[in-house]
Amino acid sequence: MSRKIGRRIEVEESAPGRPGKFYWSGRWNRVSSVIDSWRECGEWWNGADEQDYFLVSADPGTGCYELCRAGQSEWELSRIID
Amino acid sequence: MGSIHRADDFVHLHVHSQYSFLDGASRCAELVARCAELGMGAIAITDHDNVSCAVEFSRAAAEHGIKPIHGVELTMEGGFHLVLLAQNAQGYANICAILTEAHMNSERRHPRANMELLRRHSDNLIALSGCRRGAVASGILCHQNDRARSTVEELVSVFGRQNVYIELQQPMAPGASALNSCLASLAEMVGVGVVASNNVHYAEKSDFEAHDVLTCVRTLTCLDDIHPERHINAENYLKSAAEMRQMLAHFPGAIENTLVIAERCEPGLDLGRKLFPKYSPPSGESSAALLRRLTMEGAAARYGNVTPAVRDRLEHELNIITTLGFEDYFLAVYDIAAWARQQRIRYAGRGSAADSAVAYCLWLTNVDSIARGLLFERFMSLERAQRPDVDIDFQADRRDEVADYVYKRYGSGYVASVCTFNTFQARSAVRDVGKALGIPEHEVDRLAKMLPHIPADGVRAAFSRYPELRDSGIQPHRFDLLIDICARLTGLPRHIGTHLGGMVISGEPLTCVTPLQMSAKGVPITQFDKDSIEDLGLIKLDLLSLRTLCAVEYAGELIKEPSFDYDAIPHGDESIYSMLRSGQTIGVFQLESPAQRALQSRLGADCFEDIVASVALIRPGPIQGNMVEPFVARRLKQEEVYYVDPRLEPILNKTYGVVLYQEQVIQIATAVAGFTPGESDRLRKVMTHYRSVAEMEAIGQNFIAKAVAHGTDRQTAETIFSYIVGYSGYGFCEAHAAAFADTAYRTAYLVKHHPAEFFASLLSAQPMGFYAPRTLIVEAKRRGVKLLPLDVNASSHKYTVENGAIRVGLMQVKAISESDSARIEAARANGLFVSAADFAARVELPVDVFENLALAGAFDSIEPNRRALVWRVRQISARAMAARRLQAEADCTGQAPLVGLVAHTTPVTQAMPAAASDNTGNTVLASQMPGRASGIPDFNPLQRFSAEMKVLGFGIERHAMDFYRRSLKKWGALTAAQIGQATAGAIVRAGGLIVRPHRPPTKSGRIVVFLSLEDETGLTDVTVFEDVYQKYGAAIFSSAALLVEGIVCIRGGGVSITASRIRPLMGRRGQACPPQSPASSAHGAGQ
Repeated sequence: MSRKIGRRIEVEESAPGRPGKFYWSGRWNRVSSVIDSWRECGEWWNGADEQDYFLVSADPGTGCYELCRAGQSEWELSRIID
Repeated sequence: MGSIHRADDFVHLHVHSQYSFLDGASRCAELVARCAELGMGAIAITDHDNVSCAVEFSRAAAEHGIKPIHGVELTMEGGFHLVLLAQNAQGYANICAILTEAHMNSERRHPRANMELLRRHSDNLIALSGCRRGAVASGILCHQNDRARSTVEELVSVFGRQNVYIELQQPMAPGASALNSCLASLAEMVGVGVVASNNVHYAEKSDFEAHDVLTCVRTLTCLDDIHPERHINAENYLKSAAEMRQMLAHFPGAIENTLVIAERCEPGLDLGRKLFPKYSPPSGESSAALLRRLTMEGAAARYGNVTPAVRDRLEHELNIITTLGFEDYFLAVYDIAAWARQQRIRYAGRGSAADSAVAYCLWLTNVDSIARGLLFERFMSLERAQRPDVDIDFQADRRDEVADYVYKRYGSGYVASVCTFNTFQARSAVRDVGKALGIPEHEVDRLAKMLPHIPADGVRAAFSRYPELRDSGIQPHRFDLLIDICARLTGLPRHIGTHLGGMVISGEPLTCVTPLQMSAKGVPITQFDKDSIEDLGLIKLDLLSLRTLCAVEYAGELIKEPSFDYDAIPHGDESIYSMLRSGQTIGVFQLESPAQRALQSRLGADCFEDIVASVALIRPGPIQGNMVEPFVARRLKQEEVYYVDPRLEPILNKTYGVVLYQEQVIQIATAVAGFTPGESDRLRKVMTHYRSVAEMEAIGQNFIAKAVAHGTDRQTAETIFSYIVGYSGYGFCEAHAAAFADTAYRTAYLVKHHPAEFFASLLSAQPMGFYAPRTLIVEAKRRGVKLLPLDVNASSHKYTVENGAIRVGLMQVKAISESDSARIEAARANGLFVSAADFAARVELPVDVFENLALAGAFDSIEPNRRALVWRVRQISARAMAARRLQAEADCTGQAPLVGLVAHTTPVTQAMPAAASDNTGNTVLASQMPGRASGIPDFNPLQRFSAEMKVLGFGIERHAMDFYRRSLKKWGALTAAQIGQATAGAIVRAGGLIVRPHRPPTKSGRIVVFLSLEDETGLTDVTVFEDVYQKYGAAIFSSAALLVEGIVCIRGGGVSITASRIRPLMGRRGQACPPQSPASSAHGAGQ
């Protein structure tokens, strides 16, 4: 099961463009592993920017988090997957 | 060629070019150039199921010093992809063989290969497992690891372990990393290598948008839709070695293997081969001896007395032909022409082949090149060693018989038609991209229809250039994205097609150089077009269709004079030249356009040379180069003919000192600068195409230096070169012009002396020529030929001639087929039809055709009330069908025939029963039947005309302008006949249907629109200059009829109007525009 979040969050990058830890549920969560990553162009015809997605596991935390990076440094938590 | 072994290097081995049709957004040249820019030493092109790029790829790679690796991405059974790379020419030939079988044994446009096919042609090939749509990757993605493994093992059994690689890609798609891990494990398990690729579909990241739209076009979706073939990101571009190494950092071996494979592959295409046809003379003599014998026999027949000069010329040509090894080619063409003659299929050779006396003696052309002083070297020369290109026009309706003969004569696999690539132009791009962007269809349709025929990148400029677009209400900013993407698609091929006439005959199986696939027409086609085919070592032969020759042949049947022989029409008939001088040349091959008619009325043609020159003069080049005016002035002795050097006189005297023909450039270079014929022809070729100023100067310096060395003073040499520069870009092949002029003269003879028969033939051969049937009918009537109406009791499928009048053919009726007409004619042979019901009972026709016949007045002779008949058509048709069904049932059960339901010879009113069932099974009393409504008034004249326009495209009884004449008179408009008598400078008004408005290119770049106004008395030619066009362009290109005010211009015998004001008379769909004074309308339109 997954829950759609779609909320802007704070992320500290471990390397340019890669999430190191993110702030969610009132605490900082460290990215323990990147399970998968991909890039999407989205609705380019409507002016959407390219977005990088990271499916990560975090510590502390259970399940997986889908983080999305759009533009230079704007991060969003797209979904939480049980 | 750059080294491909550099530590940081990488080679792209899976790349799609534009020939992946709607799945490749970059041209081959762009990909190769980008590859060179990235410092890569090799690249493979692997298009979907074709190698169409191969020649272009080899050329581009050679230009950039890059090794070309020829390959393909094959579609296997089940739709799985597999990449094959040719290690050498044998590998390339195997790809061609695999593709040919895959195409020929599968549904058209859905080629499928299988392992058995690969097994038979596996040598010298390297197989890569392909993208996610490959059987190996998709097996893993579907959790069918066994299937993936067995596929790899099967590939190993087919190609050998060292020739199979599993592709690792990092398209930055979900699951890609996991997939790569699985694939690498599988490779290790099976013992094959891995190789990195990027499944490239475009050169630069920024090309993704164009590719995404192309994918939508291909999958018939729009951008808002989801489709598995859409890429989710813009990562399938030609990445640098560094990017590839970073993306697949965990698999350094996969990167290295790209270099290993590239080292193992050699260019697969040998561009130095000769695959000329082999004729194999049946007599046992050599081909050269047979060619000589046939040529000399032909010379004796053509010339009677073969003079030493003729013999020398023929020997000279034969020597060049045999030295270059083209004797079999000439014999093959001779054989085709001889067969056509034997079958009485009319043909005429055209193009530069008419420069050859051998071609004339072999009856390939009708131009006596020796008598005309034509240069064989324009066609062939030892120095140039270019392959000969013989073009022959055959009568269109029998051209395919000739092609069939060629297929049978040389065998399948040795003959094929040449393909064409249909590229995106403005209209097609707007339609496709508009649909992909989800723009409502009616908006896209409106924009597409308004666009002139321009390249796809000219749409934005068209909005400012063309008033009909600017004033259309379409707001270009609403279509910004559409217009931008159209521009990116300019010139990309959309799909493969069949060249109209180009065929290749090979001495060896064609599949050693090109795959073959089936065209929509059902003939095998090559995967290379005319621009590439010769580089493969093949010679193209153009067997073209010419409808004019159908008309000529049919006219011969209609002309009842036993002495008439089209081929024996005498040259020098003064009445023909008199007709040409009048400019009344509608119907004459090549001389009927408004520009030609205007030229004819000024040129004062009195000999065949004038017709040859006319054909060459009315071309974009000479018109753009302002060559027509000086030529006419000199022809009319209004300007002095002056030769800067006496050596030019014999060369240029036939064109009054003007360099008009390509052959003249060759002769000048030979006579003045001492060029060899081959060098001269190279100069001709160079000058025929646009060159930069620097190139032109370099060519000029060479010419001038050589001319000075040959005793010409520098100033004269410079002047002569300036003539050649002036000629640049528009020179026309004299032999071609002469070949066309011959047909032009003969068709002019038919127009003049047999107008009824020839116009009936032209109408029967439609679509062809410059004018629609409507205009041809006006012209025939103007020539005094009566038009007889359509009649089911008199009309044949084609137009016929009865006592000097043209009878409209059934073929003109909308939706009718030739077999429908044949059934009508067959039934009529058993007795004339006495009623529509009788017709329906004896002829089984689709009801819409029956109705169209009624609307066209085809039953007027037996049922004169068209409206009443149209009212009853469906019922009559249904009843006849019911009767046929009952009769069929009776025939089956052996019962007696049903007599009387519809009596064959009884008028419908008598045959109609008192009651019948309608199609719902309810009983309808006869008195309630529509057909009984005897009081129905017939159509009024306007309704009859409208119906005829709808189903015939013209009015038989009246012309559209008949209905406007009263208003036109009120507005002071003259008829075409009256304008023909007007004085120069008079201000007149004319109204008429618009005929062929067009904007030929001009030297100044300013737009001039030429159009004709057609009324019941003929055509009035109208010239619209840019300032007027900018005011009224919308009316010109969006109306069916116009009222034009302007000044009468008389040049020679030709009368035209130079427009100053224009207003629409009738909308595109024929709706009348509200009557108002032209001045007020014009004023309004100008605001």
